[in-house]
Amino acid sequence: MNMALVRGCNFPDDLYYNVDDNVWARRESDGTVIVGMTTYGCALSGEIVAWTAKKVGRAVDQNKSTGTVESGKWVGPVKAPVSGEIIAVNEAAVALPSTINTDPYGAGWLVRMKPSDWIGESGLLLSGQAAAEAFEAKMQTEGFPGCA
Amino acid sequence: MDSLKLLAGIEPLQDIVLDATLVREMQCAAGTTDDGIDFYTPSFKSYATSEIASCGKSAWPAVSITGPDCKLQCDHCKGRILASMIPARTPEELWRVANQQIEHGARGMLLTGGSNHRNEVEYDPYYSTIRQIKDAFPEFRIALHTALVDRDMAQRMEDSGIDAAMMDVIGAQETITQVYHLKRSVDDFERTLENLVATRLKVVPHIVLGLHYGHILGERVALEMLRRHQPSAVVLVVVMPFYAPAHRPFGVPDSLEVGRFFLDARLALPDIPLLLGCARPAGQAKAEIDAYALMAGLNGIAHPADGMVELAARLGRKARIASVCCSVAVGGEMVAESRLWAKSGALSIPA
Repeated sequence: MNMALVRGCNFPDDLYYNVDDNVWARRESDGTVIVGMTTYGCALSGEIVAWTAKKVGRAVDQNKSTGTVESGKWVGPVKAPVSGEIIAVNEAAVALPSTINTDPYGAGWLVRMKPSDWIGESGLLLSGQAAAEAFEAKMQTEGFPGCA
Repeated sequence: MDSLKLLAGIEPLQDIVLDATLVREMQCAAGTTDDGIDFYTPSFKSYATSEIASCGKSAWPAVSITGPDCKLQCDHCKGRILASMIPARTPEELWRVANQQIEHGARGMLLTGGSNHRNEVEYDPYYSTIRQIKDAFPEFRIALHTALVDRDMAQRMEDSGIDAAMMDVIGAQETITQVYHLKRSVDDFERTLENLVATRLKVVPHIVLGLHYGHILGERVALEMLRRHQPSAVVLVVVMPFYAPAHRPFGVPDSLEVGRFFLDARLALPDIPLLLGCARPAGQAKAEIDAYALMAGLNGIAHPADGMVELAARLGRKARIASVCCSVAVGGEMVAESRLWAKSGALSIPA
């Protein structure tokens, strides 16, 4: 898989990113969307100790919360990159939240959604080189030293 | 109106399970409680919900004079709580950290550190620096975690100018021996409380519910100690099970038992501000614990679970929000540092 490396944080090229909220979306062949946190978001939060997702069946608007992530120094929402219905929650990440840190683009995914307007809303997300440049700018602004 | 019915209308709280009998008892006792509720968002933890926006400023950092190091290595923590704090391992570094934090907008700090084998934090080299900070920045509040102290140590803490003294009160010898690995007694904890209350310090002891591997054991003994010594305020926290090592696991304390204790504590200490502190389990357990705290009539909640602001409003309790430590912001100070929240349909509140 091709990926950009920005200050030690990797960003796979095949994902769509909401840079401000540090979340990614991956469109599956069946039209559903997997959502997770970026390596950058995981580095900022530190070891995640809890992932509390909204229930399957809930409709969530773009940029609204799909659930709450908590670490020793951070509690906050994971915002939906696009609007849609939550159709699955990664129970493995609920049971072992540190999976989100160790494999944020794989086993540490958070929810699967059925998007209501992927074509219309995904245009607001960034991918590839544009995402890498936006993350670099964000890290510069926030004084982020880099992923360990 | 039935409190349980109120919950059903609050989206983040729709999945929590509360005990109807206990909720009814809380409703009956509610006449004895103040009608306001204070929500605290000390910034040593970045925090945001759908009701309270993240506050980017470092208004209330936590600083450890030993960094992550702690000789006790208690089974519920193993030093990991300290690891997320700002280290200040020398008096010079403490002065530098305090100045940096004030420059970045801090209005106070939690000052703590790892313990020695007697559950004492060795602050002696730091007192003159603490005094220097308080003299240079009198409005900068310092809440100090004291650990166990004798009368002289309590006096030195008072002389340093700190604003609040905090300690964990443990009421079960088994917990002291097994969880803290400590050769001290329950009486040592009571004497510490007595020594602190004898000063002019604002003393805000904590009871950690579920400290015995997730079970309630000595908490009611600790509550009796507090009733005997009448501190300025009391903070209840619930053990966070996720820092315990796999070979000595902690269970998540039962929310119903925690809620029952909240009501008992409220009734035992009717005239003392009773607050739910930062530490508690995450997820649904946290939402249940917070809802019980609100209904039991606690006076404040730090880092409230999503939905608590709306629940408070629906219960008719005036909610105020401040980005400070609950151990410091007890009493009238809260009014000046907070903003009154009135629900007007908006779900987002600038902190």
